[in-house]
Amino acid sequence: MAVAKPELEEKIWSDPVWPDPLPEPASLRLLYAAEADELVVLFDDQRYPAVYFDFIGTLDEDYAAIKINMRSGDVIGVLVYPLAALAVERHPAWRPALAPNPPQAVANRIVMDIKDLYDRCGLIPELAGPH
Amino acid sequence: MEIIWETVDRLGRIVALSDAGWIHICSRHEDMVGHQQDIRTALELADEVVRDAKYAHRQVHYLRRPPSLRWLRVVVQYRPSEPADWRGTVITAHFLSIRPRNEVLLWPLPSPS
Repeated sequence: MAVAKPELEEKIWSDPVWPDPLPEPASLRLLYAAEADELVVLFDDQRYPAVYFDFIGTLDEDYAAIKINMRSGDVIGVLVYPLAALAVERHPAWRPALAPNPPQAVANRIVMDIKDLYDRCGLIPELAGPH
Repeated sequence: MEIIWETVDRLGRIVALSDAGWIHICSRHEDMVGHQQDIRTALELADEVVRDAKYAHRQVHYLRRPPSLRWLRVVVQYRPSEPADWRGTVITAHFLSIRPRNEVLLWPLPSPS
């Protein structure tokens, strides 16, 4: 009998690898859902079967995360939650992302800023979270 | 908008997943496509339910089934419903490894000392 074992292939990466250089602005896909106040910027159009997010250990509240390909440890996108209720206060330059048809430049700005946050703050230490 | 399913969460409230909500989730989190049933399980059998840090009527349901290393995070928006009850709608869901720090635990309740 076949046994599914996707969990056995799971791996959490302590040092995920960012693309170097960062993706071209034209390749970024910005997806914002107002009802969830959640923004995702994907670096490409590929489909990744196993992914997860890790929040960046910003100094006060957690609002920026990176999307990681579980199989390779590559950073493949970023997430902002909540965008309108918190992140745009910290990053006014992100506010255009709330518009119905945001300019492509704001996606690039968000990715660069989150990369900078990651370089300065790293990920949330595992022991600092609730578990 | 059609309801795909309704279920009852850990705190006894009805929570629905709509077709529009499901499309929105999959548009941002394409890896969730095969996990619609897992979202339902996360509501019914959550390991923990926490209050969202910014939205008063929004709660987050977390499920992790060892040996999986990831938490399934399901965010639900609740609204008042007659009679004097609350109903929820799933607004997003995705996997993460380490949970955000600024959430307040609602369930399970701490055991009395």
